[in-house]
Parts: sequence; structure tokens; C-alpha cells
Amino acid sequence: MTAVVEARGLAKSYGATRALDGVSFTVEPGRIVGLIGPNGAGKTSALKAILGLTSFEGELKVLGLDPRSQRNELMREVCFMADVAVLPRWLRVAQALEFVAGVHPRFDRSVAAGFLGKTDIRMDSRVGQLSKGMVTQLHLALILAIDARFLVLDEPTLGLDLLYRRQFYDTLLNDYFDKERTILLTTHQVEEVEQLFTDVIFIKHGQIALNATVEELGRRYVQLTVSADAAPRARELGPFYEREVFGRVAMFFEGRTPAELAPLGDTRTPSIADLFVARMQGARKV
Amino acid sequence: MNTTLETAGAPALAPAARGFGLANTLVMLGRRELWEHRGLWLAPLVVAGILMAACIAAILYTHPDLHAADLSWFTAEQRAAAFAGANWSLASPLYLVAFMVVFFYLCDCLYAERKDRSILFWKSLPVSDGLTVAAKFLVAALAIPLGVYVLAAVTDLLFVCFWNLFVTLGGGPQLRMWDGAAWVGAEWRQLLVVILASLWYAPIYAYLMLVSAWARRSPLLWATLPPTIAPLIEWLSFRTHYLWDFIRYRSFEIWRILGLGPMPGFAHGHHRDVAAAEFGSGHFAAAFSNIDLWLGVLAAVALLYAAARIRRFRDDT
Repeated sequence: MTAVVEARGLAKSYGATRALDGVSFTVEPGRIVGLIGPNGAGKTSALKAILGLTSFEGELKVLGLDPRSQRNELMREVCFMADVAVLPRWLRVAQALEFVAGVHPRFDRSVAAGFLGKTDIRMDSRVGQLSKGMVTQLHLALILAIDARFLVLDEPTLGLDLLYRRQFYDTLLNDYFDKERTILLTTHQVEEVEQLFTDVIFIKHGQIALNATVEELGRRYVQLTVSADAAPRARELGPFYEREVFGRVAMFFEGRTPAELAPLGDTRTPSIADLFVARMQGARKV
Repeated sequence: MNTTLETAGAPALAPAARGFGLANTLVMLGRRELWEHRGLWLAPLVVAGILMAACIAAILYTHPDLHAADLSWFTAEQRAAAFAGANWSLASPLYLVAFMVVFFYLCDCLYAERKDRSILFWKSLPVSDGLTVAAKFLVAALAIPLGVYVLAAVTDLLFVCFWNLFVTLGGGPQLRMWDGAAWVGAEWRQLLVVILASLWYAPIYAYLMLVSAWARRSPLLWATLPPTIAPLIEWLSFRTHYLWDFIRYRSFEIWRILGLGPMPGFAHGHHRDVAAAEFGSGHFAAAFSNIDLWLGVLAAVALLYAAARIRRFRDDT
């Protein structure tokens, strides 16, 4: 099976700003990939390039297609949700189902209606009358009823409350995801979704700061929590980042084994959120 | 939201086999436009309703005079002219209002989706930019004109029915008005005029769509100000009026070729010309074989292509 996304030297500039600075990565089928980075790091530029919504330099193949010249073919296989506010306010729920059913060969209206049946959304409502959470539910119902090979979500839960966010990811994981499909997702709220990812790509200043599967992260990185007086000894082993937690010090190591560090304190696999902060700040913090 | 996995996999396989013809997709895209821009069909319907109400009120109000009227001295030709005049008088307000809503629609149709950011939703579906632009153009240049044409015909028939019913019941049978052959002829010529208008104005429609796709804000101003100000600047700078002549040419020349006055049905004093066209002395062959008509259609295709390119490659959402 070919890679879902294959990017080589992907670059994009806005005037003097290099939004993407020669990025290379591969997304394999059947994965849920988190594309994580601070604002302005180039996440959205990368997604737009993948979806054929923007020009770029370098090589990029999505499902073996060129998103610049073969965008129409690509959109049959790829589905995306830019963010919550893009359904037009005048559209009625029933019209949304009818329209997508009318133009998308892979859309199954009964699946979408099934999802909507579990919500409080009424078929004759206009999008403008729905709450933000309901609009997202509607959009999600439309997207999950499309039998797409590749789903791209850019900050899909931005501005939603916790309840809707949880529902969103539960639905995504339980009702949609299977080994035939691939999901690429960006989000700010890393803590909430980190158990979702099978792979993470950290992006910083238009470059890739980290690209690994979650299993690799567990093998490569160890978090050691030590008391303040044991900290200097632990520091000699070369943590790449540390921070204070309730009077103790959490240190992050790369390439050390838990067995090696265990005598000094408590070890665990660092969370993606902690790794993200560590990677983004880079320098040591005392 | 606790569903089982079987809802996701199984039924999704079937629709991939469905056939999606170009025509079906175009019809769906067209219906989408009518959902969003309800004024496109509401405005002509409302005007038709008002016209009917006004006609009925006028007939009822003037009925003593009608009873007394002796129109037996009307020649057959004059009767036919009155018949066609009524037809055109009912139709022209509908075309005028349709032209106005189409103008606003064209300025808005590629701008609104960027303004409300729904363009990212539309672009997530497998519909090309070219097809989207074509569908919007066909709504303005084909669906609405033909729809209004049918509406005008129905309005006219209703009016004639009511009139004949009234004069028959009211005892003025010499005022009965119906001539099947003349009606079909008049409707046929009206259809040709509608098609001619869409072809002649196609480059203007396409220009409005290009502005709608391009303008960062106020597409209405961008669409109207340059054609207003540029001729003014030309005149102030060079004391020439080539631009103004060109705009006037593109606006009205086809009606002169057809043998109508400069503004059919709108200005006073041209009703005779309109009637002339209704009765077959319009130079349809000359109008349809005019080279500028078809050059304009070519220009429209180029402008639409440009609008689709802008929609495809613009990146500011």
C-alpha cells in the first residue's frame, strides 16, 4: 500500500516569512497522525498544501496524486474539516444532507441521518440557528458518512466546550476510524487527544522538530521525577529539558533507559504534551 | 454518541458504485444557488403576484367603462397588437426585476462563500471550481431567464383567462381576446429575445462573476464604479468617449440590431417597436448572426475561466 502523504522538501513562503521550510515526512495508511506546533509554525500551511488549497514548492503526493493538478480526483478520496465555522448559516440541515448526497459519490445519507438522530439537531433547522457545538456535530455527521480514505482535521474542536470535544473524539475513534482509513489532525489541546494518536509530528518555525510513532516515543524518551536534592546528580545524565512540579523536578531524557534512571527517582513515558513543551522551548529551564 | 462499529463500515461501500453524471451534479449545484439566494425566484414570483392582483383590481374597478366600450371598430391587426401588448406589458416588469436580482446575485455569488468562509466546506467536496463557476453562471444566464419566461407565460395566460371570463360574464363578448396562433408566435419570439439577451449580456455576467471572485470586499462597488468612473476620466483627460460608447454598445446594440428601441419596454414611445418585434418584424436572423454577439460569448468563456482560476488558486481564507 502506498503512503497516504509523501512530502519531500515541502516549502511555502508568505512574503519574507518561511511558513514551511523544506519539510519532509510520510504518513502511512491506517494511522492517526497528530500534527502539533505553536501558532504560526506552519501546520495550517502544510494541511492546505496537502488539500491542494495553496501553492507550494517541493514534492508532495497525497494518495499518489498531485494536490495541485489532481485536486478534483483527490477530493473523492479525501475529506477535510477546516474548522467549526465553515458551514454557511443559510443552509438547512436537510439541505446539507441532500447536497452532499447529490455531489459526493461516497456519501451515505442514511449514515449521516443516523448520526444526527443521536443529537438534538432538527432537520429543518438552519445552520445559523444551531449552537457552535451542534454545527460541529452536523459537520462531523456529514464527514463521517463519507467513505473517504484520508480525513484531515484542522483544529476541529476549536471553541467547543469539553463535552462536545469529548463526544467528537469518541465518535471519531469508535464510529469512524478503522485500519483502512487515515486521519491527520492538528490541535492545540494536545492533552485531550494524545491517547488518540498513533504518530506525532512536531513542527516549529516551518521545520519538523520531531516525527515518531507513539511506540517510538516510549522507547526514545523517559521522564524522571526526582526530589530537589537528587536533581544535580540526575542533571549529570544530560536531560534535554526539565521543569519543577510541586517541589520536585521532572527531567526529560532522550536515549536513556528507564532501568538506568530508576535508582534516581520515578520514571515514566513522558506525555506528548510535555514532550511538545520540552521540544518547543528547547533550552534548559531551572 | 455511543455507536457500534458496524454503522461505519458496511453501508458506506454501496454509494461508491452510484453513477454521478455531470448533469445531475449541475442540477444539484443550481438548486444550492436557489437555496442560498432565494431572492432569485422569490422576487419574480412576488412581482407576478402583484401584477396579477393589480390587473384584476383594474378590471373590476373599470368594469362599467368596459361594458360601455365599443371596440368593434378595432381591426384584427389592432386586436392582435393589443393582445401582444398586454403580453409584453405583463412580461417586461418580470424581466426587469429578474435582471436586477441576477445582477446582485452575480456580484455576490463568488464573494459570499469567501465572506462566510463556507468556501472551505464547498471545496472539501469533489466538485471542481470550473463546474461551480459554470453552475452559478448557468443559474443567472439560463435557469432564471427561462424560469421567468415560463412565469411570464403563465401570468399572461391567467390574465387572459380572467379577462375573458370577466367580459363574457359581464356581457362584453366583443372584447374577448384570444388568438392561439398569435399567442404561440408571440411566446416563441419572446423566448428568442430571452435567449438573445442571455447571449448578449453573457460577458457582462461573466465580468460580474470575475469581480465577485476577485474582490476582497465590496464586489458591488468594484463591479459598478470602474465602468462609471473610467469613461468619466477618459472624457476629462482626452475629451473622448470611446469607453462610454463601448459600454453603451454592449448594453443596447443588440436591441437596435433586432429593430427595437434602445430600451425595449422601459422607455416611453417604444412600445410600437416592441410590438413590432412581437409580431415578427424583429430581425432575429441578423441579431443571432451578429459577430459581436458570439465574440462576446467567447469573452464570457474567458472571463469565467479566469474566475474559476481565481477561485481555485486564491489562498486567503
